[in-house]
Amino acid sequence: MFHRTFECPSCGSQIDQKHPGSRTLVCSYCGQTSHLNADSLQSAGDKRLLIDYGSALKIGMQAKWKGKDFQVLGKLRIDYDDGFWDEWYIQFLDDGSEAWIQEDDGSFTLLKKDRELSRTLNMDAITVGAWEDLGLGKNEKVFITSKSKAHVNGGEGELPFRIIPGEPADFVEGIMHGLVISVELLPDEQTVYVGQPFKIEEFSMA
Amino acid sequence: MPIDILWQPTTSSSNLFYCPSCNALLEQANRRAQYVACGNCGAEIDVGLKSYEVIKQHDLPRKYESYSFIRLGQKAVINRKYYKVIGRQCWKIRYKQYVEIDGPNIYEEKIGNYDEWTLMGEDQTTLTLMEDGGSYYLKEKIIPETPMIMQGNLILRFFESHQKQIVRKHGKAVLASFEGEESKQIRIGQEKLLAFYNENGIFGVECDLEENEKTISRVSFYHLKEINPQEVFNAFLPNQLKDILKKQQRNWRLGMIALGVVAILMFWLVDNTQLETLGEDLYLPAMIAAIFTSFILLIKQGEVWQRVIALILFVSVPFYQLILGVIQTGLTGIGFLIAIFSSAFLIYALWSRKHNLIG
Repeated sequence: MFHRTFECPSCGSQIDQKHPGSRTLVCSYCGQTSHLNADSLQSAGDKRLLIDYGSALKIGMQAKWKGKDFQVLGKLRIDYDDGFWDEWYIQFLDDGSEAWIQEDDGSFTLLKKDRELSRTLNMDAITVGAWEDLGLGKNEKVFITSKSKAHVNGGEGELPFRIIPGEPADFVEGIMHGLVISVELLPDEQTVYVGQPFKIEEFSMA
Repeated sequence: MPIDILWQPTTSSSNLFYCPSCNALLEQANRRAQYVACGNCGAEIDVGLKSYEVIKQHDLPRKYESYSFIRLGQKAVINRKYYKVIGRQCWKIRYKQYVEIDGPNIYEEKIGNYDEWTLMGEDQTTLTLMEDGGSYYLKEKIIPETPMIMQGNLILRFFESHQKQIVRKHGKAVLASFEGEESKQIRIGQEKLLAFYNENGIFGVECDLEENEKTISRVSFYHLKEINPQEVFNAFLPNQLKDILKKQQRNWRLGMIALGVVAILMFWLVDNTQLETLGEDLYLPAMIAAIFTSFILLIKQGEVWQRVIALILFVSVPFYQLILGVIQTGLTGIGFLIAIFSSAFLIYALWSRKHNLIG
């Protein structure tokens, strides 16, 4: 199993990397976000320890979802006008695939990366409550359920892309073919995630 | 063997603090809650960053008091999970209700209030219990296969397996008040459009409106599962009381069976016996009635004095039978008395229990 350790560029504490694809590591001691460049860490943004609001998930824990073992690698917290939500970065142990568990107000959605959008979405042109072409393919339209300006509050553990606390992270959410569609508009990439909600009873600790 | 994740020690402990506006003691049970509204003075307090500053002052919650027995802080067992009531939103609604008659669709205009109670489980999940005119619904978010908002044709269908259904109820709701905790910022006066249809349950779509009231900011789809008010009441009863009530209900049923048997025996006797020989013919049925009644009373596990009397009856009747067998006299009238006494006692015991169900 992959495992590397680094020293936090800010406080010198040990930081673990458990997934070879991670691009951001966050120091659990001082809250410093760092970007991974080849074999070194470079500080990015302010130090920010996320407030622990309590959750069934914890970084480092292993659990089962529908019989498949997974490990929680990291967490991303997004703030928007009305509140916040958490996204847990997980890796399934059997095939190494990655996914996200979105935790919002006590409800959970398991999302997998579908694709990166090739064109920039114009948020203002998207209407909530309408079917919109988000560039997912021929004649594929998404029923838009919400959109909002948001920003990255901060992270924990390790994440597969670069984040800087406070940077914009606008989002568009919708429904297509009975699945949840979530588009995250980070400065570097616009990524489409597809998934479905599930109840907490559907996963258990390994 | 997997451990149920529900019982991780990550469940929150309550955070108690004083309202900065009126000094009432407030509780934050949900650690994810960002805002708490004081049930005493209506102040909305920012608890997300632990600043405990009043960010808004709303109407006094008493102005929109709930018609339900549910109150903040109460605990309930729903779907075998423990929940605590942590918030209430009171919505004023102006709506149109479909009237089922032959001919063109007719909608009656109505106004009303309904409550949405937020309950938080030990596993940090929440559920919404809706109370509307004495009816209760569990409000569950759904992801439809065919999402749609209400259009001019007043037809909705969320799933391929559903028929196209006429909208049964639609209108606009305005948030009148809220108390307790919320993880999202609440805006008193915020509006949403609602529409519901029936297809093996109630399915609905809600459209949150922006402050300009013209554009939609969020669309959510729900399934409303109606729950019998008695079930809701039972869910909120403390466990100890629930056990007592369950036992009393079971005893009540057993008691009614005993009473029925006694009554049938009595009627059978009166119907089949000459008045002058009543005493002699009553012997066996009276025995059965008395034994059965006493046995029922004995297993009721009632008060000590009730059990003592039941035990005396239970023992004395066979004893009486034995004596009767020996002397072979016409003392069977005693059996009749025992049966009458047993019946009266049974009725009294059941009556006293029925009137002490809660208390």
